[in-house]
Amino acid sequence: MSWYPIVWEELIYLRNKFWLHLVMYTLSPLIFLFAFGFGVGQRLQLMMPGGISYLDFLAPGMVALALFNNGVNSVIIRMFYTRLFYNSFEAYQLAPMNSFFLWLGYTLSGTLRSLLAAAVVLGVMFLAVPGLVLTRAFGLAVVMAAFCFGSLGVCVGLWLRSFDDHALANEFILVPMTFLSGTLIPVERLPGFLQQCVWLFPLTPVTELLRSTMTERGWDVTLAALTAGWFVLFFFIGWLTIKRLGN
Amino acid sequence: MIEIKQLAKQYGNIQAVAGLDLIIDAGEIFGLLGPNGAGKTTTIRMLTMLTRPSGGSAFINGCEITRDLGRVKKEIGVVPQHINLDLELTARENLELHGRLHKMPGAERRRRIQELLDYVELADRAHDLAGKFSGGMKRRLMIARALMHRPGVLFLDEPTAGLDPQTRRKIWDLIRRMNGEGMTVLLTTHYIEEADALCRRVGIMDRGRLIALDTPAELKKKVGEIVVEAHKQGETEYRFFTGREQALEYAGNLTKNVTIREADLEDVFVELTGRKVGD
Ligand SMILES: Nc1ncnc2c1ncn2[C@@H]1O[C@H](COP(=O)(O)OP(=O)(O)O)[C@@H](O)[C@H]1O
Ligand SMILES: [Mg+2]
Repeated sequence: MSWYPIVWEELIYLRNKFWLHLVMYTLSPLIFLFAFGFGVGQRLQLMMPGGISYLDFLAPGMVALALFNNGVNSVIIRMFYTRLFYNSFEAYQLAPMNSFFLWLGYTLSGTLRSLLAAAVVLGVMFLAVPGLVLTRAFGLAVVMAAFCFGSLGVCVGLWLRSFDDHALANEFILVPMTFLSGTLIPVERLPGFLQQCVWLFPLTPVTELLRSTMTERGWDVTLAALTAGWFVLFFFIGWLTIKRLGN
Repeated sequence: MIEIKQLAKQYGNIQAVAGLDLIIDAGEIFGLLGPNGAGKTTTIRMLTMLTRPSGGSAFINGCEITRDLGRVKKEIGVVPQHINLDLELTARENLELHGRLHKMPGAERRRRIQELLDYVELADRAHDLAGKFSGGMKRRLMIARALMHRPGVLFLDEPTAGLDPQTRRKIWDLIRRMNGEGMTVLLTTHYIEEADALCRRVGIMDRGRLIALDTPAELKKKVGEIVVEAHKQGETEYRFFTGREQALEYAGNLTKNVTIREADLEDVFVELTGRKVGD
């Protein structure tokens, strides 16, 4: 339980700005829903592979986006400010806690945010998309995704050195992933070379796994293995970076 | 007790700390004095394992800092040079976070928080965000936090830098009180009078090296206890004397504007380094 104080601190941040977070988590799915789902969505019907409705396609994409954006960004911002501006990261380094639990605390904080945002989005989706069924496999996929993105947030957060880095990370990693990972537009409908490239983004297998567990296709071992693989990679990068801090 | 052996840190071409040897006795207040860039912060950061040394070793109450990391962390309290509170947490929550990080049980944690808030006179502001505190209040909260887990050794890096004189004296009293309760204190400062007022022994650091080590009184005696300052066209010449008579005699022969006064640690510093503190 050495990791718990870090999550405890996150819970205080959440408590202090509870309504703000709730509105934030609700607002972004609503925007996507109105702009893409009810807006262009009607026209996009034509390009849906396998003839599913665009809303059914969009629902898992929006859950994936909520998991991704909130999981990754909350950790990045927290690490960025606590390390580079407030130095409060030192409080953890000075505590009798080893680097693994430090990593775990931050990852779980991101996981928590990720899951909360996904829960809110699911709530919105239940109201907007008729006939949504949640399976146990879907639940498992959501949890795996939240861990994966929490740990990705730790990696990026540790790598940042300045505001410029933050902007770079946004422009080159986070934004492209948001739009190209099969969240809003089917991977099959991207230009040919991109269809292969987007499989280099961790968000792509997660979105596809959520989508497959939301439909009768069910659990997909390859996609689950890819998601787990990214998590393991992020774990090693994040943990080793924390171990090497202070050199 | 802190034992430092050939402790060194190299940053690229810069030798921030160049083979420091030092023993700080249990229960003493020891001051590391030196200008900016002397290597004081780097020394403290190495002793508290925030920065890895590039050479040498150090023992805190018998535990080697790199090998017994877990035990050392329980043994030490640290107040760094910069504010490192969580400004989005209240004073109380900052202390609670620290107590949790040190695995203090709930009841003991709550008791200790109350005790320390009283100790640093922040009890009435316990539920205010740390971000709204003044510099002196933040510093006091950091001291309280460093004491939460009852460490035996306290590191204070420039504890009063940038504070007003009243606040500074309050913090001095706090440091004396903690020391009176048996705590070993290592503090750094570039305020000469701070070292003079608080420390049993002072080490003067310059460019990563310890260039003098003694009690403030002995250090002053070494350069001469009486100073004659001769002012001439905006330049000042210093001469040091062991007795008042010689100083008066020398001053009597001068036609320039002169000042005769007792030496302070600043004079020691100027004598030893040829520079003024802060240059
Ligand atoms: N992280 C760092 N990277 C490179 N150089 C550093 C770093 N930290 C300190 N230094 C250098 O080491 C020297 C000693 O700095 P410091 O220990 O902060 O001095 P002091 O605390 O006595 O003012 C300075 O020349 C400083 O520029
Ligand atoms: Mg310093």
